[in-house]
Amino acid sequence: MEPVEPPDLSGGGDPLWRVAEVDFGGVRQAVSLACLPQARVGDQVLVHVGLALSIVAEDEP
Amino acid sequence: MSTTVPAADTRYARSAEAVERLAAQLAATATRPWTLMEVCGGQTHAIVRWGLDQLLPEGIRLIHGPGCPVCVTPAATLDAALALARQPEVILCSYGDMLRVPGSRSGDDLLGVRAAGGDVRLLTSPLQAIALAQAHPDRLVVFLAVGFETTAPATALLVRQATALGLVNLALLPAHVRVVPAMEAILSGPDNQVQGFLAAGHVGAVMGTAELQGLVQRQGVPVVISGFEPVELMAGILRCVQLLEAGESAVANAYGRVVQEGGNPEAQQLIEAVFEVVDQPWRGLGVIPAGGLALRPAYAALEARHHRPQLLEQPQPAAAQEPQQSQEPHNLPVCISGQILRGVRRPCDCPAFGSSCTPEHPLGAPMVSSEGACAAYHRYRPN
Repeated sequence: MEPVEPPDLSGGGDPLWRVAEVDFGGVRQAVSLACLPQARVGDQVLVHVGLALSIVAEDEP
Repeated sequence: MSTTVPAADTRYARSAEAVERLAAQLAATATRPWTLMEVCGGQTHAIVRWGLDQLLPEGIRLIHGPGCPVCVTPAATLDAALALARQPEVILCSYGDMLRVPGSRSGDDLLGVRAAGGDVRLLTSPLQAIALAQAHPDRLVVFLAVGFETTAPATALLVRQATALGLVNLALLPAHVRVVPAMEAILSGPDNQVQGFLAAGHVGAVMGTAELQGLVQRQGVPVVISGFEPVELMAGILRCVQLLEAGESAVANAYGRVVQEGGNPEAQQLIEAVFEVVDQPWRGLGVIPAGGLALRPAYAALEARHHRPQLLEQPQPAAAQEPQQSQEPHNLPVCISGQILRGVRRPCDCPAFGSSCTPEHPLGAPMVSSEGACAAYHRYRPN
């Protein structure tokens, strides 16, 4: 996952507008990080209707 | 509505060997019959797709719950969406499945309005409505907002963003529902058969376990938060049967890979800030106390009925007249979708299933939606 610059809408540091680019098996889409401020580059995230909701732990064996 | 979980290791999550091992454990655990309900339509599809119900020991039965937001959206809300979509200045947008669900008149759906020239658009995220409204300042963009607690945070974020931008040409037709009150309504029904629940993992990712703890304390049934892959579902079923055999009513989390006990606090705060809990009609189930979310009065200006009061004249009271039980006046009498949604009957019990009712020509919402039980049976088990 690669965070990208907030879109040209409003204040840059405001969590309301925080977005990242997420790789869905090769397709990259902008996803809101408004609810997942702790997400970092490389995390796997659960995304529902354009909003990241949870950091997914590494798979169990 | 699509949820995407990175499936880094579907080899394990879909391993036949692991599923068979869990099925053997289940057979060794179960000493008597138990009936479980998987609440979420995504889980129903996975169970039918992978044939997990056919691997269960005799007496362990899964019934399919109402966790399909498309299926339970009231006909009155769809009628309002249809009326708005027919206005030339309106752009009506929603998720793909919503476009094919009939309103109170059979065959009247949003795709039909689009075919007749209406501007109806498919979104995969509510946040896309912002750009749409900005690109069309002379039009009214209306988002038909459905879904459970998984989807409500994204709608709430749309409301906050639209408010921050001062967008005056964006409106919502909200029909958000809450899953725990529906589980409680099913348990309280006179024909209830459910002894334990598999709860939807993605709702758990947002809400955590707190609401489920309350349900377990009030109703004395075990609830296991489960994932959506075959191994995750079988592990959830096994955990639920273990709790039932031990006589324990508790909340167990069998989806720890994704679900934290506290859920997602930021998402919960968004829901709380934008929505208030209301009694809500569910199509096929009737009015469920505390079963829905409405915009708080502070956001009333974003309600579609605020923008088009004459057209929509108070949809709330109309919605409250949704039938209490399984009557589906918009459907042919043969359609049993209300009973399907309550888990009382199965899709293949319906005389119309696969004959006069198919995904191409659905009589009821469970055959339309990609999360509906009838569509799951039709796709994976047509005979």
